[in-house]
Amino acid sequence: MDHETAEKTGAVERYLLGEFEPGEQAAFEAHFFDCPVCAEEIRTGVIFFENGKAVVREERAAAQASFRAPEPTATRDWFAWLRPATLIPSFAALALLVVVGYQNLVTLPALRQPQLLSAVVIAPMARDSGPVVHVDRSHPLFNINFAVDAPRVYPDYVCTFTWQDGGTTVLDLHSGARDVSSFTLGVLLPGEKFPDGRYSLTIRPASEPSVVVERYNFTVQSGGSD
Amino acid sequence: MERRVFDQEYLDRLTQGDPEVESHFIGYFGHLLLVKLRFRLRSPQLVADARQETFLRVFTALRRQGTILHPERLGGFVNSVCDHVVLELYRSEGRAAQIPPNTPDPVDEKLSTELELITEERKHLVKETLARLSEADRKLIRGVFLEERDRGELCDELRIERTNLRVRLHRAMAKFRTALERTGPPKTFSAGGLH
Repeated sequence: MDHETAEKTGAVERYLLGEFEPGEQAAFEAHFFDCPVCAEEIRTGVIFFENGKAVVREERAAAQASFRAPEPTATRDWFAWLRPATLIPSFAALALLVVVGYQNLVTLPALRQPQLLSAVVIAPMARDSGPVVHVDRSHPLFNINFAVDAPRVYPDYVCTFTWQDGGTTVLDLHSGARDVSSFTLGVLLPGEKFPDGRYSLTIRPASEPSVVVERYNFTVQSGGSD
Repeated sequence: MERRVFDQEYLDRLTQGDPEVESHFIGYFGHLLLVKLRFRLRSPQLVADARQETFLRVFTALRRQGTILHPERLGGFVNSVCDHVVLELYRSEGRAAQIPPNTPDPVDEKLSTELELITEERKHLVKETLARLSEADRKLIRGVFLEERDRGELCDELRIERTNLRVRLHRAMAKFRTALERTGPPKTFSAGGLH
């Protein structure tokens, strides 16, 4: 291949584009090794391509880097926890913690503690405010005994505790099965429902709520055992 | 690259080991050999080896008086020596153990060869050259040569005839050459790489 043919056929560009047949390629190589003009064009073309590819690679790398997710900022938003999404579950968890903590630290240890039951038995029909029952508030429950003497045997009784002042019902409970008419009814009452004050207990047969079997008065007072 | 005439004086100085002529010779042909060998050998290591071997054989031949009778054909001689080296490499590679069918592809080390050609200054010149092209030419050059997109597809997209691609490439390269010439004499190759 001579230089004129190389120029006319755009041999440099065809070579760089890889458009030559193998025979043509060898012929052109033989030419440009001897032709300084074509050699220079080949040299320039390759430098152009390789540096251009490097530029494109760098641009792509820069573009990829700019699309990366931003790193989390080091600054902390101290008020972020005030959002409802955080605040509500936090308070719920806190309340649960308080309840569970109270039960574990106060209620359950008190229940596990041995406790002496009262030997005092309250008789019915007391006209005054009745005997004073001293309640140890460190225990969740306190014990009272009532002497029951029914006119006949009732299988079950409903016991209704009321405030003497106002007659508000404090508590209803069943006595459980009874097969005798006279017995001592011992009950454990929750101290939190019985603040200091005067109370009445009315015992009725579960089967006949209109019949009053016995009525008792007693006064609850905090402190020590009676 | 400075143009030199390959005459008897050049040949004599090269044979006698004149450092200046030797440096020019290696720079000039080192580049051409790299271009040629990259078309023929896939491995950058083989390209480097073949180039070294070509230079070694050329220098050995030069020191045997009477090997090169026509100094103006020095380029042709280098090219033919390179062809022989490549053929020998093909043969020796063919004699080597065949690669089993499921062997993973070797790591592409192409970049290591290309690095000889890439400099920050040249990259800047490429950017400058591309910026001076028309938008269509810029898209074409970037797409075909730099991003290696399908040529036919890109020509259709830009409504350019396929044969016109060479013309546009020629234009872009001419602009780049002008820019490159402004930067002064290029760095030269040694037999082992760029200095």
